[in-house]
Amino acid sequence: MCRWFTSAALGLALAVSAAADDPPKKDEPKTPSEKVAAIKKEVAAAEAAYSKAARDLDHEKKEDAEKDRKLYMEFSKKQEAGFAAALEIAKADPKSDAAFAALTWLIGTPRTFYVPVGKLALELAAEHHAANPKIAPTLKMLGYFTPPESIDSHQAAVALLKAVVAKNPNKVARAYAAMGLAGQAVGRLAVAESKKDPDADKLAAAAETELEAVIKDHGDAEGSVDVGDWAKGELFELRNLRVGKVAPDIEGEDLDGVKFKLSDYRGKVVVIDFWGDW
Amino acid sequence: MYPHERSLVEKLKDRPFALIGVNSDRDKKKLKERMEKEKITWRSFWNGPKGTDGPISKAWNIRGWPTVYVLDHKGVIRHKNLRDEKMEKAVEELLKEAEKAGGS
Repeated sequence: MCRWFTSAALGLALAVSAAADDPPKKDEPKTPSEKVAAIKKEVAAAEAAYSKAARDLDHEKKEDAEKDRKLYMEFSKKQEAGFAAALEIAKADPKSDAAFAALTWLIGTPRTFYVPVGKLALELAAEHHAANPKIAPTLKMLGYFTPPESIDSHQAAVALLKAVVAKNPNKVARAYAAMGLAGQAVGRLAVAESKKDPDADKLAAAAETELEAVIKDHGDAEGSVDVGDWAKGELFELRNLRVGKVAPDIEGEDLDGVKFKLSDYRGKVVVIDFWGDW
Repeated sequence: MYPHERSLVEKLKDRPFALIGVNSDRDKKKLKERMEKEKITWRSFWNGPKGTDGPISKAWNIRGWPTVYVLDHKGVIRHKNLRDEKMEKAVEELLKEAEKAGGS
């Protein structure tokens, strides 16, 4: 709150001094931290402008689809320029608060994982900020959306997660990082299963071991995502919901409030559809 | 989804088959109006007033909707997340197994 007030007051002061000048100058960000904030603001504004323009287009029309593509390319260019500028600031003084702000912004925008900037941001963060307790919210995102093995930035992301588990004093940050690492094991299993890979059982055993360790070591971290709960859910799925397992019974009520069980349908081939009308 | 599910239920009505939903809508009344309109006749568990955070989807660790499981007549999970023709083909194979076992 205090910081917001200060920056608002500063903005006002700059506006006043700019108004006194002739011709009026733009408020130029001066410190690296101000520059990072300005870049973020500019990219967010470009994204909002693109979304708004895209909403007004009729995507069924060919010329509008073309317009949409052009608008997106324009936004995408601006965004990539912003990513590059933020990375430069981080590289100039990688241990600084400005670098931390730039890197957490880059890592917190999963699109960066698909361009070279993402990999570099992850590497710099692993080297200089793995022990920063304030990295927890960024790790929550990265823990959920860790770039998979098929993507270039995967190794760098895993290295950051490992460095955080090893070095970070913040229990919640460590828990999110451990969730990301165990999630990789679960993801590898899913890929193997979809390919009917004969190694799937081995991968399942490995994922079980990792999830058990997450529950034991990080189950009591009190973040906004309950990592222990997440790991228990994954473990249950591994043990009871894989192809070849007898499905756990479901006891509940239908939409008229009549009680019934999934096992009432034993003897029939059953398709269970988790659905919603939205 | 609905048209395909409707035709599947219709086509398999005389065979040992059931489509069971687990519905995660919060508003049951609105849902029922929609079901009437869409002719959704098959039975669903209700996941409760918490919607997608309800107890059944939580127990089954569901993270994406729709998620589909295919069980054989013994209750064994045989497939996950098959869609449309692929699902229909898998169901047909399992029905043959079930009918062979049931002697029908």
